[in-house]
Amino acid sequence: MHNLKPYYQEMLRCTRCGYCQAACPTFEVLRQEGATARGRVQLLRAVDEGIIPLTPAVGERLWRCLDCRSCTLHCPGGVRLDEIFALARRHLANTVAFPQPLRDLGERVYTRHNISGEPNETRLLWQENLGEAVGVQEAETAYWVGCVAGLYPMVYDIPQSFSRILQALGEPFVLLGGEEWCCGYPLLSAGLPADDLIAHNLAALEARGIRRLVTTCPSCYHAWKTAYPQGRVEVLHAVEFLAQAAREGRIPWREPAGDPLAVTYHDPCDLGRKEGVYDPPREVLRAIPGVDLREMAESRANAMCCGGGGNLESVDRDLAASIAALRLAQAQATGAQVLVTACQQCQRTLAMAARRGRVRLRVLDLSQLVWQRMAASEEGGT
Amino acid sequence: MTETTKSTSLLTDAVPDVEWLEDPAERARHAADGLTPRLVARPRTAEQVGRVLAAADQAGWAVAPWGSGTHIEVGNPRQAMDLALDLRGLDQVLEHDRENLTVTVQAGCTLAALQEAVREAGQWLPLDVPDPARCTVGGMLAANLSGPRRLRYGTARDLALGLEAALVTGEVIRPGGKTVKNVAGYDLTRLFIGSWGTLGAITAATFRLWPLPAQATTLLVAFREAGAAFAFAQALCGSKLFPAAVEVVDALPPGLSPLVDGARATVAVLLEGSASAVARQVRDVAALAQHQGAAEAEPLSGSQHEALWQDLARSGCPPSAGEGVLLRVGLPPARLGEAWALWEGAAARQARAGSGLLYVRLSGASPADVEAWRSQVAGMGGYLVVERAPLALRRAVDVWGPLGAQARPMQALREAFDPRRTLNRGLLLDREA
Amino acid sequence: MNVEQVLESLREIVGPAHVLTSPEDLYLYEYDASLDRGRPHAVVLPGSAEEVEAVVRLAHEHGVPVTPRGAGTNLSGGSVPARGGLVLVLNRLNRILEVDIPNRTALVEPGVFNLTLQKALAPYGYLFAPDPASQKVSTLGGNVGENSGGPHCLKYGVTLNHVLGMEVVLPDGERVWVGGAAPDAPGYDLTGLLVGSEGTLGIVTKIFVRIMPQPEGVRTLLALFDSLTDAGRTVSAIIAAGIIPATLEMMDHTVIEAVERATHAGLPLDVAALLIIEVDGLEDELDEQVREIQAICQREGAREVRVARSQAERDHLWASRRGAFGALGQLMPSYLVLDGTVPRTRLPEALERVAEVGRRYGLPIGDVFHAGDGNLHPLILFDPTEPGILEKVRAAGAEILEICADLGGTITGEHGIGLEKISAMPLIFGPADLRAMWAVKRAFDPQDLMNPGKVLPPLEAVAEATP
Repeated sequence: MHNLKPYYQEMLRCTRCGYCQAACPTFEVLRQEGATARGRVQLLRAVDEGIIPLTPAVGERLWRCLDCRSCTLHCPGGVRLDEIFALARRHLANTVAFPQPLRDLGERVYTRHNISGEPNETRLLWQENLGEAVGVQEAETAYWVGCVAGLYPMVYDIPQSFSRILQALGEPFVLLGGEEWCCGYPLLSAGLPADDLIAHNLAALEARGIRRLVTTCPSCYHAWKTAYPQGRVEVLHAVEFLAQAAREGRIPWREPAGDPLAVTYHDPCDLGRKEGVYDPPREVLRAIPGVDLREMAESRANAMCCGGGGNLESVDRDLAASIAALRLAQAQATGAQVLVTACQQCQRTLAMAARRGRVRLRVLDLSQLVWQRMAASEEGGT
Repeated sequence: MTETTKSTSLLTDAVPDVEWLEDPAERARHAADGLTPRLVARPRTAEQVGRVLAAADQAGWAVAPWGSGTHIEVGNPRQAMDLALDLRGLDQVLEHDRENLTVTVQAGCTLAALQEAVREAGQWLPLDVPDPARCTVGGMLAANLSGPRRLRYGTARDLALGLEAALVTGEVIRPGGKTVKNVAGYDLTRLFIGSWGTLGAITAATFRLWPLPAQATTLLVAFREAGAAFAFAQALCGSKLFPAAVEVVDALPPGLSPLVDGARATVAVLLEGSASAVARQVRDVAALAQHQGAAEAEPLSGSQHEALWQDLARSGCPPSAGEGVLLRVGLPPARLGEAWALWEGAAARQARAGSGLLYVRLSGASPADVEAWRSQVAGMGGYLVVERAPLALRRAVDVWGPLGAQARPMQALREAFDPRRTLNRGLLLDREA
Repeated sequence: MNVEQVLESLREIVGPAHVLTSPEDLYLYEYDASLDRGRPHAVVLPGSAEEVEAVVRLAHEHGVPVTPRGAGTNLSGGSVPARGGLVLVLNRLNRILEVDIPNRTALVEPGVFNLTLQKALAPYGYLFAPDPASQKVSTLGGNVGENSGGPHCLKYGVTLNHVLGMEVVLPDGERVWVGGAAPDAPGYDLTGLLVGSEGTLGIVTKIFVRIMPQPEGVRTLLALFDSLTDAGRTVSAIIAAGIIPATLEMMDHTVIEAVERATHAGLPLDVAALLIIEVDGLEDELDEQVREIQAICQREGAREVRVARSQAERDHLWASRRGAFGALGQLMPSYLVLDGTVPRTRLPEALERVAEVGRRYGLPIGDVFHAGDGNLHPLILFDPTEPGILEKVRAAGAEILEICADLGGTITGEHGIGLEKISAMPLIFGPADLRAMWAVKRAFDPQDLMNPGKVLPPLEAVAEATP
């Protein structure tokens, strides 16, 4: 019997009203009760009460989830669904219910210290295309690149852009390279422990005298803010850094040419709904000359996950892609030419959906757009 | 089928406490469809109605429920009418709950009597019928009569909260209730309304009332071409204004002179409500009329306004109409203009814009005409009912038209409530071809 | 009947991915938003009207009961299979097929959420009048099945008043259209009969609805009262004055306190009741109506009347109403929401008697409801882990329904009879009424396979007629 107390009481508070169906992107696609928070809670309760046995099928439904917290936000009864599911995953990871792809993910991260399984030392390959070296040996600030931006070529342009921005603004920063281990987010999201990773990462920063960490990855940002001991290192997301720089007038913008560029902004779940960082990216977008920002109907706390959240991509790639297509359609409805986000996972997921669906919408990370619109960049206008 | 025993004592003995009338004059007053009943019953309570129906059903008699007969010859001609069940003895206003704005009346009460009973509280039932002083509530419900004001207020199906009806089993049922919200059980109230007395005899009903409007006025708008009149009516019905009625006529009733010479269609717009709402709508309707190329627009008030709407409530059938044919065409509202054009030679045409109804009065029509028109109207997504016609035409065509796939469930309901076809045999669903 | 063969045929109709038979999935479909449960033998998710037809035909051939389901937000157990069989889920049929502004109609599939239709109509300046509080998640098919109401139904009517026609799969699998675009078509009002029949007479596969232009303007007021009776009297007084508000919602002290503690909306904690009143229509008469309503409130003893001056203020007022269920959820883990309706003037008495039931059973009860049409929603709050609590709650609920019937009202204003209220049907219907309803049921479904065990008490339980 799997004991989910103290959250058993919390699960009892679900009155099965079903309003979570309006909030869950997996339900939007699958249309099945097993793809709702209500359904997941009912299954967990049934297992806890011994009504049904714990099986891989239960796990399939529990982990086929974006961990986007939209259900928690919209639950009229204020049930702490995020906590129920987090605790449930922790208890049920490494049981018969645990999906094999997540076992494999755990294996990779524990042994290779990153999600891709590539040698961890290859985390700085993205630098090779830059004409110049970036970063310094010693500084108080580290640019925390994260697994996705560091190891997936499709999004190399993000760290390339941001590091050049830092350079152009005269901000010294350290790149940890192979010393940067996975922040632990994918493990924690799956319900696996990340203690060793956390301990290592903190030690690695402290060994280099790092007092401040800036990252382009909201998931890393969220992990550092919630799973790491606080007060040791200041943690900033790139949008916060850029917003401050823009506010202080330190970013030399190019002159805009031609018509204003219509853009819309996608709030990454880990930055927006989970950390409340909504305004800084918008501040930056409004500061860029020649950019016309349009909001989606579903934005800020109501933004729909891009499909790349949680570990859904590992567990059900097709579902993640279907969700991305839906989010893309919401972006298209604004009439924007460019969809801007602040997360390499969102950028990757949505860009792939655009390519798959032959949708004429460019998907960029904010750092890419900022770099393109800075006077220092040699690239042509967007 | 068993031979009907025509002996009247079978009924009069079975229900001795009901008033039975056998004299030829009374029977002649209840003749219809070329049939004269052998017997007339005048019960005074719903329970009596039930017992009369049960006795008739068991004896194999064919029964026609009667109100005042204003619509007794609408539908396919009855195959038999042995008993006329006159419900005018149930004429009481049972309850007027003024604070909750509901009224409960028996089926034999006229609509005029109902309005009279609730008027002093400043309330009314916004249902138009052709002849409110004669038309009984039961008949109105059985026929689902409606008029111009359905545009804003809905029909009986929307305004009735519940009813009471007697079945051929002798039972009296009371579906619905007195509250505006009620979803308990099946909505037999809706089922019985418009069932033409073929499921049971309605004996009472409860309606929701509206407060009497503070003000009411009419705007008459004349157009040289019918197409423009319908475009104006469409635009008006799709606006944020809420006219109580929008009627398109090819000629104004006698007593009102035409607004302009050569006006092929006139639109009568009824505006009811608070003074400010009416004033605002008068302005906006006039402006819209001008924008849509009206030839002339004129307000109407007082007794002329009253008389106009009484006339329009007759829906194409004034008392002077005589023996002609009245067609009722139902359509998606946007097709009304198109259908209007099918009857350029008609004696009169009246369209209920926004609702999608067209009444056409003709001096005559052949079965072939009816079939041809019917198929044209079907092509526009509508239906055609021969509402009034000489008996010969009513015998030669199915006045209702084909019911299509809906006929089967409807037949199943008829079978469930009246297996022996005691009630209005042949009028609806069981026409013998 | 060979179960495996039937399942195989179902897989051929809808595709194997859409036939669910695992124990986990069957468990997931044995509940809805009510307190009832019942396990199906299989769950089917058809993707088209043709597939729905084929599934029903197959089920009928083999005598398999079918329970239709939309979003499963049903509050009376309507979506719960009472006799096993198939749960037939409609939410893959989720397209808006047509919006026809000149004719003011729309054609939708049953799995479309009510709010999705509203959002599709909004750019045209149109709306679909029935807007139940569940509109974010309840499907239009579900709204049709229950004949849902909502805050705007006093003025604009319930779902039935806005359905012109439907495509229905009858219990034997025949797919037919009832009603249509032309008004008052000859024959019986099958649309009127089917809407609100709780899925027991057929399954709707397309819904043809009437849509309306949005009103030109709207005004929202909040009135606070020191006594429930004053508030109840005000409700009647407003309507008696000839004003038909677009909405007229009431909340009692229990709810107000819960909402204020949860949301800090700025409501005093010592008021007995509040009313949210909205009037809509032409701008020309709205301010006049607001003044009149203010005067009536004050005359009936309102402590304070606030008028929203902006959209933001309006949203703020509504936030307290919308947050009510959730706020109550913070007080106790579970609740039973009732749906009895009484004539408006009996509201104060109804509320008092409901409160008395709460005291006698020792159960906290909050009231938040559509006062304008007398539709109460007492919420009985409880902790489901307390031994014997469910019986107690149901008993209290049954008493409350008796009160509503006693006051000349009905046992359900909008949530339906379902499973939950079958035993209360004799409170408002006599044996003849129930027999007539059974006659209707048998006319459509002689084998009693379409959502069986709902709405009507078993025929054997209905007393014999006196000859």
